Amino acid sequence: MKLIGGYRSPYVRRVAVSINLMGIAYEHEPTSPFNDQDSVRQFNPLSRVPTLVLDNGETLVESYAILDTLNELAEEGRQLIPQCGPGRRRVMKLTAIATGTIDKLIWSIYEKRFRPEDKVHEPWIAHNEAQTLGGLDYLNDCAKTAGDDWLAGGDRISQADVSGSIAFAQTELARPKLEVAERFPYLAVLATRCATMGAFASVAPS
Amino acid sequence: MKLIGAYRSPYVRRVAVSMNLMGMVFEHDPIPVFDDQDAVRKFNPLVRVPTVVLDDGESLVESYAILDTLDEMAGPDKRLMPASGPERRNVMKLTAVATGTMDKAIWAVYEGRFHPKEKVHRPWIEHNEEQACGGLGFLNDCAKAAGDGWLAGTDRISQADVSGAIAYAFTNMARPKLGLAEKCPDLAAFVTRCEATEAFSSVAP
Repeated sequence: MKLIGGYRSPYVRRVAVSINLMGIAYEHEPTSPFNDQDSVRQFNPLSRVPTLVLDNGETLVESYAILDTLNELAEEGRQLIPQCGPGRRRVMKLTAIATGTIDKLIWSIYEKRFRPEDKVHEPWIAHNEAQTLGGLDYLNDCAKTAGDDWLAGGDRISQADVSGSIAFAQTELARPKLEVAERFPYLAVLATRCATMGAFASVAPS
Repeated sequence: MKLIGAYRSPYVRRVAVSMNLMGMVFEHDPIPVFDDQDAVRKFNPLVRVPTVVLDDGESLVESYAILDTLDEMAGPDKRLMPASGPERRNVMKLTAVATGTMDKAIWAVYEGRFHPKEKVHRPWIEHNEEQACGGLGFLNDCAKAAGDGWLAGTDRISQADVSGAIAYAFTNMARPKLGLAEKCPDLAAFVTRCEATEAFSSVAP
């Protein structure tokens, strides 16, 4: 299969790390949809990354849907979201907080990236940053409660850890002035623990 | 259970329509999330809607995760996302194109809503509108292929239909000048059929 999109995108990265943890081989094509819309559009009508092209030519879009399909394709024992029940609900909730955090971070980043300087609206950046911090704070509490366990509890890494640590790492990288390591020390420890794993380190943002 | 958020939000509305189709009784609390942030924050640290508060006090956030949990609660006969296999993958894909379309339509709408007039950046609106139209074009092809059936070829209504119809209805309402009825006639006809049903019309924006 082929994963389209640069690891600078936290959505692309959470798919890449997940594929690594599932032990699935893939080809990586770091096309940017902003620089080369047409080459992404042929696989995805939304011209968005991540886009995943399966070996049979079928394409998957939007990270939550891609991860849902990969979870089903993964070998028994390597899924990152439990199949059902309270365990699934918990992992989905924490993952949702993480992706919501990433969404808001992206809004604040794009405000500067895609417009001339005189059109940047600082209150809108601040609004989105506050929401980002709200999500990270919640995940930090989860990390504190989890102690040496993984974020959603238990001794196996889940999608909550993948997406939660990437939400933190991406905010730290893109918004150093928010000082998230000092604000959220427990989440910072989890993110460091993840960052040292091969599945994460091999797909670092470039 | 309680659903927080106004039906103007396509994400709130897809949860509301889904609950209707699943036959779930819910209380609706249309808190305006931008005007009364504290009231939403109590239930959701991201201060986002939809937020669903279950009867045991647990809260669910982000529509894709809310719907995943509701599907499991609804059981095999009423779930809107098939449980597994190629059918799930297909419904999931169309649903993802629909929510991606909503995302882009929202970006286009928020540009005007949350920027003072002199800071509105028109090329950014156009960029997002173009992506929304790309998603709707894909769904229109699905509607054409489906004919009188359902978007993902299922034998009853699925999440692809709920989210696909709402992606169109929202974008059409918020961006009338895009002329979507002409651009996407098959999807438009499909949406008219959905909107005529009680599950949709009882939670109109």
